[in-house]
Amino acid sequence: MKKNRNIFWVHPNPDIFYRKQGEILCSSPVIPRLTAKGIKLTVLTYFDPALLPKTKLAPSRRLNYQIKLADTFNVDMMKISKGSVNPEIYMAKVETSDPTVNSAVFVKAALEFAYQRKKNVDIFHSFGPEGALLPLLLRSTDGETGKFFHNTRTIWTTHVDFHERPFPPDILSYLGIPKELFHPDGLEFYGRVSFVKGGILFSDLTGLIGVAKTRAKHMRTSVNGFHGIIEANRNKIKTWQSERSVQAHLDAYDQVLSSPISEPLLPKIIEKTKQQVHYVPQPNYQELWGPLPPQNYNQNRIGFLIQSPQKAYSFWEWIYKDFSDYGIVLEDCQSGNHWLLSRGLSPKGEFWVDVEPNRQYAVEFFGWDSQGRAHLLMRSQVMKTPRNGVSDNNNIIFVDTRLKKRFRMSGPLNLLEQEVYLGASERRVRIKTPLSLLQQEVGLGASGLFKGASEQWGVSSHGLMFKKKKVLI
Amino acid sequence: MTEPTGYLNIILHSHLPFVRHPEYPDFLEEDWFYEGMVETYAPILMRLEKLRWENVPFRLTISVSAPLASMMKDGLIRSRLADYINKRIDLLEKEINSNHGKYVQNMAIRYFNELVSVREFIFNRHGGDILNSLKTLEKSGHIEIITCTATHGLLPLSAGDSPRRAQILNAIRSHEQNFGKKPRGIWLAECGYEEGIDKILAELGIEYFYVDTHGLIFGDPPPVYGVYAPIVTEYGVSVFGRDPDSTKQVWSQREGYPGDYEYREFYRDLGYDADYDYIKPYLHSDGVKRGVGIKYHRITGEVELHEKQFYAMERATEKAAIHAGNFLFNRQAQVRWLRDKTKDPPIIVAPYDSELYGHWWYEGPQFLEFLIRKTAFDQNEVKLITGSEYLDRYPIRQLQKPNPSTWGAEGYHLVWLNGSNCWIYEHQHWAEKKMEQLAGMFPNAEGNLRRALNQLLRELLLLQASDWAFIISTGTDVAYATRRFREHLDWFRKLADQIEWNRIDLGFLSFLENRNNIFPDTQFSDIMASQAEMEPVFSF
Repeated sequence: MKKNRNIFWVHPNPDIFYRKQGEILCSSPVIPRLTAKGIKLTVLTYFDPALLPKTKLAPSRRLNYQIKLADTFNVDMMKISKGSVNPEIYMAKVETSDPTVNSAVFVKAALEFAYQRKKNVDIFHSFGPEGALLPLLLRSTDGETGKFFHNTRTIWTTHVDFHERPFPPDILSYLGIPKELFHPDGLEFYGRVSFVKGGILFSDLTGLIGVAKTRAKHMRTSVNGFHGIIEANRNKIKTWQSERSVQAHLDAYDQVLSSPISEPLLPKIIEKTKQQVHYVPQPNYQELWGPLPPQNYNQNRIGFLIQSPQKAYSFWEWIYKDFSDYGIVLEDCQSGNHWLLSRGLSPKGEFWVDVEPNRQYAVEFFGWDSQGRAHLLMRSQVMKTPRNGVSDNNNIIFVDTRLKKRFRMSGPLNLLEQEVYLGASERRVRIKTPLSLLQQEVGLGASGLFKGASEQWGVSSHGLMFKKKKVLI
Repeated sequence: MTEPTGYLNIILHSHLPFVRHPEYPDFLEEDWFYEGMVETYAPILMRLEKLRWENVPFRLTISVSAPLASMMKDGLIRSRLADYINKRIDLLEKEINSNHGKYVQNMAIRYFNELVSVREFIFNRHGGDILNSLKTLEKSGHIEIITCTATHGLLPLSAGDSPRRAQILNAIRSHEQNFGKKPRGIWLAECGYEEGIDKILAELGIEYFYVDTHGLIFGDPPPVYGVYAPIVTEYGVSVFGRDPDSTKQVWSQREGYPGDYEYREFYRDLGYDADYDYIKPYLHSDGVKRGVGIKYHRITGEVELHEKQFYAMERATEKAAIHAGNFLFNRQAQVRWLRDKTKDPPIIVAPYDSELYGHWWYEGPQFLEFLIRKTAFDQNEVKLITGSEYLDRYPIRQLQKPNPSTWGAEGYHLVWLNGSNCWIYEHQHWAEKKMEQLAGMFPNAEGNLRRALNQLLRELLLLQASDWAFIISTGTDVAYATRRFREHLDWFRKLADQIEWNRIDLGFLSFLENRNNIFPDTQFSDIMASQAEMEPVFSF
């Protein structure tokens, strides 16, 4: 690859840097090795106060941008590397709480910043689900900015086991993305909007990290549902063994720079959608995917499901009219604590929420009246999360199940209960660590189970949940 | 009879979603069933019948889901199955007479003979009804057939007990019709268990079910004998836990037997390799190149598909025998070690999807036969057993509350409830509640209203199948799974509307009854709450 290439990293994870003795250092070996090869690297990451210098930043190292979506957001940009040292490192402080809006503002700020600098960018390299929007936003930028980035390529890298909650279609207009992109050839993903799909479609190259070479395909792997999209775009997807592979980066940069600029996808999709505007849903589409489910059932209802010991899912719909605001609360039924998950809810929605193993939870739906008083309107059924480890209850009871059969023949329950209780129960103290013995001496594979099950879920929280706040109800 | 050191309970879980499309002369997804019949169910049952004929003692547990049994009995599907087999036989004849070389000719002759004997087995020996084979094997005491939730509904993700009860009731009823007796055990779809399900099972007379390893190990209190003895819940239902070791040896993508380089490669197929004009008559009407089940290559190693080498059947058979020996050796070592730590002889529970044997792992049925023979003749430490037999023989059990769990990735609901498929549940829960509401509104419905309510329940059961969420999650045939869920939901909504407004369209109702003809004797009242509240049988 030629030297002096300008690569712009949009990396949402500030953990790749740390500050030591006043210097900004990289925990990833990739950045120093890329710069050592003559690549001019600019990195924009999220704001992390730990990376700020002890002294106040000089005003020349601070920039402020106004990013317009449906609302206008302030972005504070800070340069944390010194002078013209390669790489140049910037942090962006974005003042929003919704992670999706946050990503959009972050990415737009990156584009605005790169444009304002008027320095040529050969490649925008964005990372993770948060960076998925960059290729799309770049390609949907028009005017002077669009001309400026005409020759700029995009690479998007993410882990293969990414997990994204697809969004409702109205998010497109909020983020200022053409609504025509809500189309099977665009961002539509099972009736929702997927920005991860957009990342794959609109980038010049997608790097999927962590794809095992030999995957027995009959195993039940890949649970994010993007298999088909990945297959369809196989020609521009690179599989990376690790995000720390310098060679993978260099190969990817070489590949996109040596390929002709790809034909813009966006006008094609928009044109296609416009042609089909009278055929929504078009017959083939309906034939293939079936009739669309209703948008709502015009009911007040709330659902609550447990996904794992640490994650739960809830959906709601309401048709109340008497309250000024609505919110949803997670109730820990054992401690009695209530956690406000969100207020200002739309009439239909869903969220994922973090929970603890082996506890009982319910979700409650509140309406706030004009005096600010909360009224409980709906409550889900109580759900118990699974244990994610061995119970500490050591009262081991054995029963003779033959008595159960006698019960089945004879009938009355209360008689049987007594009979079983008096005659069959045999209390035993738990034998000394029977389970660890099994693990160690037989190697039955149980140790793997314990390990896997007690580990935290590797699911990104991006876009998945609201920030929890403890409240008194 | 001397008591062995321990027991091995092999469970073959047999399920396919209900895919029946009389509206099309040729339908791609129906191939799932035809492939299953030709590559898995018939080859396994042929071998089991042969073993019985040779007086080789064995005991296996086979769970048969209602959709699978229903397709096995269905006249339309059966005639299409015959067409499917005949078309493959034609192709093999063409291969035999082609000039593709001696190797291809020899392999084609072998496959030809195999397929002819499968056709003979299904249509001549059993008159097209392969359920007969299962029934006779159960009657002779060689297998125990258990049921599965009616349409493979994942019970913990349903909206409460009533829809769960409907799933189990219909499973039992369908089982009684197909096999002439009530099942003693059930395979809960995806091993999905949550507190309260045992109570419904007890009410409906089911004696036992299976959970994944952590369902028992993380239970309360911890199981004294790990997963090597069943436990009993407070409602008197026994629970077996899956053994992780025997699971890994067969299922593991890295260490599992099916990945051996000598075994046949699944993804290299004549359907892709052959010239388009040559293979076109054997493809579906859309003309897209797909696998046709004729494969000439072995896994070979970690190489690209075009680098695969020719398959050598004898070498693969030898490997299957070696692997069966190794599997048994490990089980012997396992029970030997466990025996002095358990009160009763330990039981090793090894469940597999039936389709692994034959469809995905071509040599799987051979492996199974070798394992049965070796278990019967080469040793006396491990004995094959069924769940019911073990429960009858060893009635003292630990009282426990199993942990909510499933099998599959991460051990909980991640596969069936994630960002790609969570949209399903708001609709499913609405339909479940609606069904309850309408059943409650018309408890004494008769005539067409009753017909409509019964069909409404059929549509609900079909949309509850865990297959749709699974397929969407894995991305294998997302459009079809989405379409099936949306279609059943759409039909459910239309029919529910007609019932509610007393405007039943009899043409529409007949169309649905013909199209989705599963569960002919279903009763809409299955969704209603049980009248008799079950009390715990045992107390902690």
